[in-house]
Amino acid sequence: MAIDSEDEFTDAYRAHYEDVLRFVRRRAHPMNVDDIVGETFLAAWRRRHELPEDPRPWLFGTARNAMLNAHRGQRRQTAVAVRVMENRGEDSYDGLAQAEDRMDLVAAWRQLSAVDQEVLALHVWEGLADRDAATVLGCSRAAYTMRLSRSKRRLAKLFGPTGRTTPAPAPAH
Amino acid sequence: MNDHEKNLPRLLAALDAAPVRELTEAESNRKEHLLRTVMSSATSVSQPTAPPGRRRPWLWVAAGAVTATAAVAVVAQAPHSASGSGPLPAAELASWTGTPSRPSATSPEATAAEKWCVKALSSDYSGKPVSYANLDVRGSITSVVVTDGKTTSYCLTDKAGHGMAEVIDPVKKLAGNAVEVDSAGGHGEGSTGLNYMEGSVGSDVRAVTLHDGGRTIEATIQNNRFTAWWPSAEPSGSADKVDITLKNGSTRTVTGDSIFPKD
Repeated sequence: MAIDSEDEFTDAYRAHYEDVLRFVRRRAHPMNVDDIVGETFLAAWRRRHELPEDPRPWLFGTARNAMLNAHRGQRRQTAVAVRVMENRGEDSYDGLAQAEDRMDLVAAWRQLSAVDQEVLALHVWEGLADRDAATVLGCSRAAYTMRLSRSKRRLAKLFGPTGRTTPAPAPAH
Repeated sequence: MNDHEKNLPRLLAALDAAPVRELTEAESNRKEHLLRTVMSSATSVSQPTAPPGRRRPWLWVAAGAVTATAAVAVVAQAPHSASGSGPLPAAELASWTGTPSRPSATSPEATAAEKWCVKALSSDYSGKPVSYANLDVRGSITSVVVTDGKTTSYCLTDKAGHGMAEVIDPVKKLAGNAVEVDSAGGHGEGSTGLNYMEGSVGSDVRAVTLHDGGRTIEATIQNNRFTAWWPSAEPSGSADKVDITLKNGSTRTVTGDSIFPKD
């Protein structure tokens, strides 16, 4: 997707800005969100001639790197923790009938490693195919698929042995 | 994989911390602002020192050009860019005072700072009349908030035209005794390092005094907005402690992090 003109970049920017914004909001402190999004699109502008056909994984990977590098001088992180919505009105959470279930799932999520959270978030909330998620994390597709399976297993174990099988609405992608 | 594991992604979907929704007007404005500034950026952009903690990863441009993140522009417009890694020269930062002077609206400092700020963010103002607030001078550096009623900016600048400019949000209505950061950041390092902070205060707040790294910084308050900046060798974008004095004379001390908005 070599971008040769400002119009082409504008189109790509408008097509992906909100996806990148949501990606960063799930991971960064609110005070830093705008800056990380800005840094990501500035990098995209500078490398517009070499962007891949579908730039979303590239943009997510660039935003992730910006977040990983955010604390210069401190111990370098290898993964970015992903936050979850802890409170939401009953109406929008009718898939999980009991508030207790929500709290258990939130608690389980918090016990996951940041690596597991990243792997699951790319699948659940960014809605990426395994190949694209692997691009974001800089690993092979096979490695991501394996990690995803393990992360699901770990979350299921933390969530509870009995499981909650009430279906929730499918992700909106 | 059992049914339990299969259902987890569906259950998790409802816990999305950033679900799809319409952008607010302010968010849409930031989106368009970012697009303009990114495409007008110079090719030689590098990242300055990124201090730990809450900070904005500033983007730099060559002298004469303007760029910004969604909310930030750091501009070096003087014939010679500021020395070191910060937007303002070490010699100017060395003149800093904890208690600012407040020049008159017609003072040369006020006029120069207003013009610099409008020029730095010219794409946002487009020749509209502007007004300013929170004008103060610490040493040889002027701090000002400029607005045309739609876009509001916070600027720091010296007489030579070095400086930084940031698009900020409108004042937020808070409880009478509350203080909340809208934007804060650190920039540069060593003798060119600085921290800045601006945000909203409730109507009962008379004074905000920050303490950081042995410095005491008296914030400027006007129109329910506070602004403060101070030199820091290792900028963190936050202060150690904050004294909040109310109009009834009472003062409480809180941690710097506690006045940032909650997630």
